[in-house]
Amino acid sequence: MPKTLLRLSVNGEDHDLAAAPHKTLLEVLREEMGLTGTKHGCELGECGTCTVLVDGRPVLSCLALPIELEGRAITTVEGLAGAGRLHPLQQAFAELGAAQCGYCTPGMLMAAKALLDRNPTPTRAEVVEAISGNICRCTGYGQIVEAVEFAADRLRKTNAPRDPQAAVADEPPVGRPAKSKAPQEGILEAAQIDALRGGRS
Amino acid sequence: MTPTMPLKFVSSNRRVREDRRFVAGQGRYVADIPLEGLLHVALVPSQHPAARIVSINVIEAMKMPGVHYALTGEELAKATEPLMNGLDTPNVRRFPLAVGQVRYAGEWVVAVVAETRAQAEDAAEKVRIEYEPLPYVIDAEEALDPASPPVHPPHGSNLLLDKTFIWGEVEKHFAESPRRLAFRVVWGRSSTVPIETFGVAVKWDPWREMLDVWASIQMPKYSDQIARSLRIPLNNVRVHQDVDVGGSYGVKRGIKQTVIVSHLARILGRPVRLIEDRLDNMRAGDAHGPDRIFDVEVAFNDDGNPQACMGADIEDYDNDANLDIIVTNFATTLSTMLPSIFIRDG
Repeated sequence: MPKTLLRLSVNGEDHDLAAAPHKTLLEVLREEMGLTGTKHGCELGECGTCTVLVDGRPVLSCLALPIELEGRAITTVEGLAGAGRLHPLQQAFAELGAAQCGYCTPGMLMAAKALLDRNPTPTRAEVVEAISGNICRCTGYGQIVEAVEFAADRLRKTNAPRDPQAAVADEPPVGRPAKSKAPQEGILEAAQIDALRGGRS
Repeated sequence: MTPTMPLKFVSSNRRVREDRRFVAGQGRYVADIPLEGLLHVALVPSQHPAARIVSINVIEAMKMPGVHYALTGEELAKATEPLMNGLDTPNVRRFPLAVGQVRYAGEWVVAVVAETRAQAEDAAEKVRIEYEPLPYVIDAEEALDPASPPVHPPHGSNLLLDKTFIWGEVEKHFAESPRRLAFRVVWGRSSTVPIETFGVAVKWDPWREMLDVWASIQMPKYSDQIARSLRIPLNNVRVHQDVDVGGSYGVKRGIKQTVIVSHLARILGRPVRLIEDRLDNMRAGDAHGPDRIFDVEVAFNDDGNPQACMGADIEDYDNDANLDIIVTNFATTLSTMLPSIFIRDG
């Protein structure tokens, strides 16, 4: 079948490419654009592994045709991190062990991003519902939900207007060693994890 | 180490190193491995639970766009050794593609190779196979009846293993225990289902006689079994271990899939990849756990502590098509819990 010329906006950049018109967005992203972060799962629209964002909304790329998506803003997992710096959702997933085999992770992240972009303060039920179309077979849903909540919390703090009083209150008491406030990968405080898990147990 | 020394790892929050690349979308799974000139395989499954293969016609399939080859079980069996048999049953021979007879619905019969997976699937629909249906039974206990049709006729029966395991003084403990309980436990067919099905890509270098393998694999002795089946030295199989596995939970063995693509890569001179679709995976991949029927009698004290266990375990590996290992996990698990046990496992 002859190829069709397409102009797709992916991760903020316009791409001109040629692809057979029956190719799905998943196939075009992976095979024509080399963006293999988005995964094949069931290829039937049931597992959510291939989730990307189109104009901010989660879309199953195994069921979407690129020819219908020209002029729309497509975001893949590769578009989340910037210049070696992870998005807070990615950071939270890594810190809380929300990625086990990693195969469902890109789809989970995109579904979670769509949620937090429109609802910065989701309840646990809203988080669960937002990722309900994404299957994790390593059964790590607990950590995934916690990671989304943790990322939402961080994003709220990052985006909150600066309050001079709050900044003073956060200073470490005199005489005790100051800890770096910058969260480091893998050094999430046990108390933070317990606090997150408190709602469930 | 003094007791006051802080522990470095115990109760500390350790993260696995893979996380960063997984969350960044930079995991490298088998479908992400770029290979120049890669060809793709689609499989033609049997629709019959038991049937003799009368004829296979691939003429129309070979005329389809992009098609390079259609491989039958007969051809593959001539070029390779049967899959490893872990039991003392020399007449039970297993092949990656059915030879002469199919033994379960979904068993792979023909592998079609094309430029794209879609072309291979379209061509697979054009393969014409004539079958002569054979009698079969589904129930494991019925299958043990000598009158039931054997899955492997040269073997003569459906019993592959009949072995007794005894730990401790079973009869003594039963005689000494005041209470007994007998019951039957039935364990249905089960499977784990990773989001990523099994996949394998191989490249054959004819000048070095080197097989490079990228696979979603967690299988012990994987390269040994491939080399043995392909009749090449173990040193000539190079399994790349930098491939991420999209979930396995013990079901990714992949020997027969790897033998199929390796043979195809050797005869076609191009890298070949097979990634199971969900139906391939569910019906004929490596995922099936057996039905199990346990008839158990337990002897225990008045205070409820079990002292001994006797049991007969029937494990139904269905048509035994794709399992290399008979696991006596029931017996071995119990042996860690009870003073004595007697298990007849089959």
